[in-house]
Order: sequence, then C-alpha cells, then structure tokens
Amino acid sequence: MKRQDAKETAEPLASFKESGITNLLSVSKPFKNADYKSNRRWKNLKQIVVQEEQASDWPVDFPTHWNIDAAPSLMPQKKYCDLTGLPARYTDPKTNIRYHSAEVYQLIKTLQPGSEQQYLALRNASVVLK
Amino acid sequence: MPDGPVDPAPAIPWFDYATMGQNGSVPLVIDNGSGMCRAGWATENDPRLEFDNVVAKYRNRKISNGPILLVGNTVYSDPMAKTSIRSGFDNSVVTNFEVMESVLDYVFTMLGCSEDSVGQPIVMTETVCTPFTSRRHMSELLFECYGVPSVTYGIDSVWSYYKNTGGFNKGGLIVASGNTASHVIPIYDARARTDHCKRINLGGLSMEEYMLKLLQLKYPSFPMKITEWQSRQLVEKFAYVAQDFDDELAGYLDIDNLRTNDVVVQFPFPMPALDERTEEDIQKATERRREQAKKMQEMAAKKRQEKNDMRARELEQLAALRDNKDKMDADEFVDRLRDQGMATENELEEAIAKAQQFVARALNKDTGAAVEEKEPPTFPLVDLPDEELTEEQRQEKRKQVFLKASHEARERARAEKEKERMRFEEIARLDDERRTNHFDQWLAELQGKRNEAINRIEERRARRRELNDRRSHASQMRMRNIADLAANEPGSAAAGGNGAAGSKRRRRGDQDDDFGAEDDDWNIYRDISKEDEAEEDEEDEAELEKYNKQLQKHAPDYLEGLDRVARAKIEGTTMYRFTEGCQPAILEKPAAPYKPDNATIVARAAREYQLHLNVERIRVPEIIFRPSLVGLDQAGLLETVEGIIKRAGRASLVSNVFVTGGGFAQLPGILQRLEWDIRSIVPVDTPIAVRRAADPLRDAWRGAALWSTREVDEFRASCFTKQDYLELGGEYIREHSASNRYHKFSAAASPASL
Repeated sequence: MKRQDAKETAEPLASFKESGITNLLSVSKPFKNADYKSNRRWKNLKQIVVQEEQASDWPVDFPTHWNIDAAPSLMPQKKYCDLTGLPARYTDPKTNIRYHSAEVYQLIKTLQPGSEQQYLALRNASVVLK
Repeated sequence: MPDGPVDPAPAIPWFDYATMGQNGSVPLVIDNGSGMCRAGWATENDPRLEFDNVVAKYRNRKISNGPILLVGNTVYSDPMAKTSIRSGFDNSVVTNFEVMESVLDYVFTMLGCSEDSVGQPIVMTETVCTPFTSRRHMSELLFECYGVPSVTYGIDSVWSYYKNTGGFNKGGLIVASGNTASHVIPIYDARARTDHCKRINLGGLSMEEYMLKLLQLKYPSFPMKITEWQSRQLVEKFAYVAQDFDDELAGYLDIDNLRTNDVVVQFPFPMPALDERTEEDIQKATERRREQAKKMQEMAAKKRQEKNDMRARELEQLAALRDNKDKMDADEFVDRLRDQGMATENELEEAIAKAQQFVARALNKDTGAAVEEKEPPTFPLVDLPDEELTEEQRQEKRKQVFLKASHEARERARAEKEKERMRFEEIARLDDERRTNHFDQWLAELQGKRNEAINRIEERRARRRELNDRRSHASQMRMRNIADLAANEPGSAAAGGNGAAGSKRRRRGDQDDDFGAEDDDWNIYRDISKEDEAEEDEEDEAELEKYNKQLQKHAPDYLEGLDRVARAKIEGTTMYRFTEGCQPAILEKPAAPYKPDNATIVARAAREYQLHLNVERIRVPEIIFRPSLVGLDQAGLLETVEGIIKRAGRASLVSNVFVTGGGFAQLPGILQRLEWDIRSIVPVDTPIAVRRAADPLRDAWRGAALWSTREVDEFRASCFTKQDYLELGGEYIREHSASNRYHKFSAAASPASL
C-alpha cells in the first residue's frame, strides 16, 4: 500500500490555527490510504431498502430496517383544530379544515383560497398535485 | 434571539495520540449519530470531540482560491458555508460515505493521528437495524481508507442503557429518541432484543419542523424569518409533555392558565421614531411660535398703515385740486385732471368719495369702531313710467332696475342665511337645554344616533362581504333584480312588497306599471349597484365623528367605557388569546381619542416582533404519542410499548423503562407521562419505574467506552477484524449484547450480489 508523502505530515494541525476558518482540505492526513477512492453514486435510504427487501430469504422474525417500523395505530384518532390545536368538534365541509369553534370558523372563511392546504399539510392531508 | 448556532471557540487538538495509541490497545469510540457525532478514547470519561454531524464544501474567494471543506461546528464559522451544509445521513442511516469520510478525517485529525494508518480498534455506534449496505460501506471505508485493525458496531441507546444500569442482566425497556426517529427496544436474556424492537419515525427534527410550520401559519405576516435553529431552541426551551393532553388542552387558553402557559418570544425590532421633547420644550416651542406670529402681525399692521397714509395723501391732493378749481382757468384745471388720469369733474368727485370711504374704513378698523350701517340704496326712477322720462333718464332707469333686482336678491340671500343660522342656533340651544335639563335622555338619544350610524356602516360592510360571495342570498337577490330590470318587467324588480302587486298586473296584461310613482322605486338602481357606497360611508363616518366629539365633551366616561368593552371583547376571543396571549388589545379605531406615550409606542413596536407560544408548547411534543397529529400513520409511543410488551410476553419490563437520546427524551414531563400512561396498559400492582439516562446525550458514548474497557472478553470476541472483512464481507457483524443482528444470505439472494 502506498502512503502519503511523509513530508506533508510536518505540523499536521498548523493550518487549523489560521484565522477562524479551518479548511480540512489544507490539512495533511497521513493516516489515509492515498489510493482509496470512492467515486460512486450513493443510493438514498429508500433505494437501499427496496434493494435489500428484494433479497427473498430473510428469516421471518429477523428484524430489518423496514419491518421494525411501528404499525398503523389501532386507537381511535382524536381530532384537533388545525388552526389552534384545541379539540375540534367540527369539520368545514368546504375546506376539510377541522376547527374548534364558530369563532375559528370566522377566520377560516377569511382564508385566502389555497392557504387552507397549508393547514391540511400539517397533518399530511393536503391535496398534492403531481 | 440569534439567527443560528454560534461557532464555539475553536477546538484545541490534542497531541497525545502516541500515548493513547500504544499497542493499539485503547479503543477509539465514535458515537456516530445523525444529529451529533462524539469521539474520544475509551479510557476517558468524556468524548474529546462533540460536534454537529455535518460538513460543508464550498468556495469563498475571500479566504481561499480552492474549495473549502468544513466539518462539524466549524461550518457555522463562515456564513458563506450556510447553504452548502450537508449531512451524511438519510434519516438515521448513513448513506453518503463521501460526507462520512470527511467526518472521519476530521475526527482522526483532531485526535492527532499522525501515523500512516489509524492503529486503534474502532468502537462505533449505528442505528437499530442498519441496512447491510450501509454497514458494508462503512466497513469498507474504515478498513480500506484508514486501515483500522478492527471495528465493533453497537446500538447507541443500548450502550447508554449499559452505562446507566451497569449491565444487561437486569431486563428493561429502552425508549430512545434521536434526531429523526425514536426506538423502543426491549432488553432481556442479557442482550438487546432487536427482534422485538419498534421504530416511530419521529425525532427532534420532526418537532423542530412542526414548530416552525405552526409558527409560520400562526403569524403569516411576521416581519422576520424564523430559522430552523430558532425553532429548535423554542422546542428545547419551552416545549413540555402534558400529563393528560386532552385535559390540559381543553383549558389551555383560559385566562387564568394563559398567564402561566403563554410564553412571549421577542425578536429584535427597529426602534420607532419618538417625540423626545419634554413638557418644557413643548412650551418653549409654542412661545416661540406665538412671538413669531406677533411679529408678523406687527409687520402687516405697519404695511397697512403705510398704505393708509399714501391714500390719505392722495385724498389731500385731490381735495386741494377741487378746492383750487376756482383759482385756475378751465384749461389748466383740465390739464391737472388729466395728470391724475381723469377726464371730467364727476370722476374727480367719485375718486374723492372713494378715497374718503377708504380712509374712514381704515380709521375705523384701527380704532375698532363698527362700520356704520349703509343707507339702503334708493331707486327713484324705477317706479316712474318711461314716457315721463328723458332718454338719459330712461337709460339710468334700466340701470336702476338691474341694480334693484340684484340688491333684492342679495337681501333675500342674507335673510335666508340668517334664518338658517338662527335655526342652527335654535337647535343648538334646544340641545343645550335638553342636555342641562334632561341629561340622561339627551345622552341616550345621542348614543342611539351613534349606534345607528355604526349599524349603517356595519350593514353596508356586511352587504359588501356578502356580495363577494356569488352564492350568498344578497348576491342572488341582486342578480334577480338585474334580470327583472333587463326583462323590462319591473313588477317584481321593485323589490319587496311591490312584487306581488306587480305579478298581478302582469297577469292582467297591464302595460303601465307606474314604476317611479314612488321615490322608493328608484332605490332599485342603488340596490343593484355595487359601488357608490363609499360616499355614504364617509357621511356616516363624519356623523360618527361628530357624535364622538359631543360625547367626549359631555360624557367622556361613556366612550372610554365603550373602548373598554370593545377591548374586553377582543381579549376574550380564543383567536386573540392564541396569537396575542393575555396582553391588552389595541383597538383599530378607539372611540375615545388616545395619545400613547413613548413607552407605549415602544411596547407596540416590540409587539410586532413578538411570538406567543402557548398551545404549541404541548401540541408539538404530543406528536410522539399521537403521530396522527402530523399525519403519520403509525402507532404512538404508548401503543408501541404495549405491543412490544404483549409480543414479548413480559409486562415486567416496565419496571425498568429507560429513556435516553435527544429529541423527545429531553422534554420535561415525558417520564411522568410515560409512567402514567403505562399504568393504564399493565395489570394492577405491576411495579413501574421510568427513568432518564444521567446524561441522555453523552451516555451512549460513555457506555460504549465503558463497555469496551470493562467487558474485555466480550469486546475482544466482537472485534470485526481486517481478516474478517476480507473473508466474510463488509456487512458482517460479530454479535454481542449491544449489537444488531446478522443474517447470512444464501449466495444467490445476497443483496451484495444485486
């Protein structure tokens, strides 16, 4: 294995003291294998999971990154006001916004068209156009 | 509030690598979390390095011509780096190993590695059930790039458990919360049972994002940008877990609770321009103005005096000329007249009379005497028949007729004006009389009139609002009226009561519908018009202003009372309390005139830059118990715990519930809430104990360090060496009590071959 030139190792951390900015590229790193290159495209987590999930011989009870996800809730979901967060007794049929009281409804009526989607997006209920 | 994290004092490197690295015996422990990275020597109590697990690669010509690479908290030292900050993590899994390489470079450099490879065994944390691909890349990096002798992977929170419990013999349940995910891991059979663990995809980052979104929606016109870092600070400082969420939420905005629940966050605000003058200064300024006015008046008087004097001299000259007429011959007299710009003697007489009048008036003005009543002009010729008059007289008569008519018209107008004035005076007098004699009645009437004006304005406003909605009743009535008018059958158009009569006429085929016979008929055009209400609004506003002035003068308490009521009404609303807390409301149009003092002006300017946190304080942390709040279709923390206990068949695990990590684990109240909730899912009398790690953030690192130095046999057995790497592949893991599990694929199905 080739190693980096030993001369570079003199004062390995000197440049860290210059100004306030510490550029890691200007620091010699003698401990690294100079030949190592990892010029690959990195897959994101979703791609990795899909790829691994396809391997068919996972044992039934073996814990994997995708099967330890908590299951959907079986409890009844309580509804809360999208604007104030208070308990919501009503739902506006026009916008689907849940609201706490008539007073909050007055405010919903003044919302700009389209901005109700931002409230719905809070609980992932907005209409997403693709 | 600062915008973002501040670069801490530059880290000081240590140069004791040689002593630590002897024989390669001291393991180098790296807690590689998605939020923070900690690294140091296993024999020490605390990690040497602690930094945000991020890097920034960017260019800044001011500093260097080449690219600049910053790692950890140093990324905050240069604002230019802000947009290039990146993390090697996707959720809680390392996916970008180029970033990871930079982070490890930083760690080994800062720890002073100066040999030609990293000579220490590495102990590194990884998330629960790390995908094999990710681990394979990590091993590849460690062995091939840094040449480490061995690596041991383990789960951070399990090591934290080890540090706080002293071993794995005692069973328990770990509730670990990270930056992007939270795990519940049961411990029994002296090891972490990852086969029964569960993950909820919510962490510190989820709270930060949720808080930010809520605040942006709560204050859509906030003058400053709220940063993610600020949002995180708000969560860390003010959020807490409610003991009984629904119960606490129901009364959260009640005025008594609000005083303690509401948190005001002040952002820096520009100082408003203030009137800094004292009472004395103002008095002096008025004095100065008065003096100036006096000076001007004096000057004007002097000028007037000069003019008067000039006129007087003129008069003297003219009079002298007239008096001397007899002493001159006719020609000379005419010449002299011409010098004065006149043609006849008559003109001279007129000029003298005019000048006399002017001088007299000026004199009167100066002495303050009243101008004497002018004799009413006489028109002697008007009543004489033309035949009796000479041609000249007839001409004169025509002139007089005209003069008389205009004089009479003037007189009439003056009388009219006088009458009007009298009428107003009479009204004012009666008003005064009523006020003095029947004050209550007078006041009630005025208030009534005021209310009527307000109602009219309100009604118009409501109508305008209704007309904006095409489907409202008002809009539909308007459209019907327009349609009727267009169809030239105004019967039903003449709104209201006339409708029925109109239709009757139509049936009889009556052509004439006598539209316009009543003045009200014309209102139809006003009804269908959308405009010209501004004028009426203005009138009513002016009227309102008048009433307000009267009330302010004679019953000042009344208006202030109205304002008080209006304020109380606003302050009582849920939305106001939600966005403005329990501060006094500011009225847009206070009935009583009000001039705020300087302190009030500053306070109001400050209010523009204030956030009020109230419901958010419990709403944000609650997402871990009810992921449906953020639309995440997963079981909440309690339901997850319940599922695990049931599946493992060990309710006794709840006697040792251990909370660790960042995110939710740090929140006040989480322990009590968990204990309270768990009580509801286990049999009565089951012992329950919930505790937090002594240091929820650092104990994972400390536990790993402690474990690798104390459990030497287990540590040695779990070292995954370079030899293993070459023989067994990068995803291999030597299992131990704090590790994930390994599964060997058949050659055909191995993901590595995909």
